[in-house]
Amino acid sequence: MNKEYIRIKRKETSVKLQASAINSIRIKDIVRNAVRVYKDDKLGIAGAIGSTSIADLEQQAETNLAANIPYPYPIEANHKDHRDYRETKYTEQDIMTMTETLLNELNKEYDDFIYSESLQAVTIDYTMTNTAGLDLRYQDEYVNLGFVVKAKQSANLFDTFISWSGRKLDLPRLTTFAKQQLKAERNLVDLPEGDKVPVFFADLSTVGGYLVRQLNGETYGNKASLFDGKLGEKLFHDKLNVVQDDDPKTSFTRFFDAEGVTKENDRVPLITDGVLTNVFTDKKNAAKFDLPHTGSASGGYDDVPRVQMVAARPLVDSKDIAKTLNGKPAIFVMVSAGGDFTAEGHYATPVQAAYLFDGKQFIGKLPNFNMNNSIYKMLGEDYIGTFQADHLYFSDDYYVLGCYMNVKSE
Amino acid sequence: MYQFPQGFYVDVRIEDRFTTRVAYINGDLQEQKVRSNIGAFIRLFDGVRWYYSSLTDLDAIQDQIDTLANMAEANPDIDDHPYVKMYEVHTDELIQYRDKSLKDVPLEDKDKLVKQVADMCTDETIKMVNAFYVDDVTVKEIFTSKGSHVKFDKQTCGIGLYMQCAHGTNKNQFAASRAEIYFDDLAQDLPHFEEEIAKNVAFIQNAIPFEGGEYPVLMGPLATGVFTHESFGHKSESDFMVGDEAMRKEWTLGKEVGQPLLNIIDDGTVLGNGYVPYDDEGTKGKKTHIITDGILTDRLHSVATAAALEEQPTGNARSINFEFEPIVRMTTTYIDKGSTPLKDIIKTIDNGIFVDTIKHGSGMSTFTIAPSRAYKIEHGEITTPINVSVITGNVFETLHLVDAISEEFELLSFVGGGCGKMEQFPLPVGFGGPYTLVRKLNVM
Repeated sequence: MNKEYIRIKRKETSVKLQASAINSIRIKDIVRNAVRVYKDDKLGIAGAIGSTSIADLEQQAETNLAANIPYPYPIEANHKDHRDYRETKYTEQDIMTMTETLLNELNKEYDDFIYSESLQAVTIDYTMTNTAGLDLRYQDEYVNLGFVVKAKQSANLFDTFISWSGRKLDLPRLTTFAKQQLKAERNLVDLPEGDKVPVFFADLSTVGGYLVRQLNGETYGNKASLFDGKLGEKLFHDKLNVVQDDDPKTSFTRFFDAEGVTKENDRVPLITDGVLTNVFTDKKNAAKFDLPHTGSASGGYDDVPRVQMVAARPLVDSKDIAKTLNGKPAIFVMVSAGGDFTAEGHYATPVQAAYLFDGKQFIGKLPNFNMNNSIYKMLGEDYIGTFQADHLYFSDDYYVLGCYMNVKSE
Repeated sequence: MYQFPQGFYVDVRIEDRFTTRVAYINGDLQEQKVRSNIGAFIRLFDGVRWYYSSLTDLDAIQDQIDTLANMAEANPDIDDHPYVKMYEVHTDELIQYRDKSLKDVPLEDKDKLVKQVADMCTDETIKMVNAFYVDDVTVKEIFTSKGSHVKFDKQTCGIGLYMQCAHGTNKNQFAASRAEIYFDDLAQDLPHFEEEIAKNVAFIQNAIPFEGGEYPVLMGPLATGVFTHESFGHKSESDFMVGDEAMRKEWTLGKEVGQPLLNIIDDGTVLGNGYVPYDDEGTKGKKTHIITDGILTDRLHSVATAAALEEQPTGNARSINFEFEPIVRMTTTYIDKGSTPLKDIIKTIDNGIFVDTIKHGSGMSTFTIAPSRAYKIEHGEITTPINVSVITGNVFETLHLVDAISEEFELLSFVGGGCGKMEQFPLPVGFGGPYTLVRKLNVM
């Protein structure tokens, strides 16, 4: 019988704002432990939050074997990989001071807005070991800043966000960028003319989430994917490349999957030069559907591993947004919540916060509008490119995807 | 029990949580998980700022209180602070489910029930099935430096079913879910899942593309519930109004915000997902009439927001678990039932949309509802299933466009999701309501 141990220690310090003033500080220091036992092609799991006896968890996991959850796959073995991505240590006082400094700067020059929400530092120490010689450890520390911004005269719940995530926050640079954004926020402008407009997405969660669901190997194998039967076919623009990104440097996640599998360069190609090259799989679905195993199992610390979602990202394929736009006005979408796709892959969404964009900076704030297009066109004939965009200081390593969308005022 | 330091307001919330999850993926057992976890959340207030700590070692609570006190600044007048004056003081033990606890239901019975639902999914259009049983028995205990000590329990169990279906070029996801307080009641819900599966199969086989535009939209109880929650419920959470004159002016009590037939209620006393005998800072759960006959009559409060806006707390300070501080959240929120029979409402619609079930919704100045099953209404009859990605409307206009509310009414509880607000997701909430006709919404 092999045994596997997962331990996650997560510490968070969060400074929270309400009505443009610091309202609270919260400290969390939580440990989660799980034990898996493998016996006779069966898997038993137990887990607990807090300081727990590992011996108790082992006993509970062995009891859980009675559930007869099948696991007829070899477990990972004889592999040690310890990685530490921590760059800067932020104390509670550092987080408080950074929040105060940024808030004071914004309140000084942009007091026509109300700021709320938080600056948070997260420290993570994630280990996965087993009796077959697996020994993986991922350590990291990063900052998430998310200020909700609302104009004092506005009746909206919010008007935009100031956000940043990464390992080493350059506060003066963020302050300058935030002020540029707020300057544009004050300048109300009209939507660019034309039904089809270049649109750049600050957040790819809805579109990316849909794409990832279609690339799930279990979905594909069961013929429920929009791309059913199209593995190996060219579906998208020549220059589009999408990878499963398990590189902690860019994904801020552990470099191994829930089954302890690592992969070359921490990445798996999913779409290569527009061709659907891989769907992502765990051990079970790779075997079941005779698909390449991509090391993509996920799940909670004490869940049975399962292929669900992965961190996917388009690779940078283009340079210089402004030059590409060649003077054509574009839209930078900050918030487009609530949209969805139809059964045929057609996307439609309202846009709640967006800026007029010249490729270099935000020019002015656009009114709310609706936009739509099909996934095939967004990433095909209407795809503009994925650009490295470090001049937009939203993170350590910021990229942005652009495509033409059908745009209609509300 | 605890030594609360002088010069501060302090409360301690301890949560003892038992959970079960049994999941079947495509008919195979994926998971059978029983867990017991315990943790605490401490809040300390010095009159200027709050200091929070979340921990799992209950023996360390006193030390952590003292640590937070050292970070803060003692305030000799803390008892006169408006927040502190407003905190309710209760001594109560409300343990209701000890004799019929979900903890005592054999795991095999839970497994058997969800397997029955998984085994219903046999139609060839159903390509993937995730059927799961979950339960949650939580005992909460709250101590405050004002002398409150309340202890109470809550429990829910439920079955969720996610289906991915395909028929020709139609590929879609559907969900069905039911939650109850007692296991025996959940066992009575099996016909609901049979009906939902049959409706989803018929839908995927017959749904056609649909040209978007503005249409009258009739929403079923589930869609009405999400519409109420997203279009208006979040606006009634008063933490958005603290320090914000424009919002206070926009949502002045007494203002006409909707049609006279409209009544919206948030009720923490309804048993189910939104049940709050006491909220997470020890205020008793209440029934709050937010809109009465189209007039804004109240809003949802924690103690801090009530004190800031010089109103009364409503028992809506909730957190998703012991790792988070309570913030203003809904409980069970619904449009009250009307007086028109559903069949009479449908007859009035010449060219519109019926939204039966939904995938998700969102609520800001523009709210959205993503239907999973929507149908045309033609000449007073519900007809063809249609593929619609999202329905949107402006919050400030839509409540004035509610033209009819049915006498048919249903409150619903679910598992497998909940309400999200900033970092806190998912919070179990109840919703539902009548069938509601909105004169004009944007169908995309």
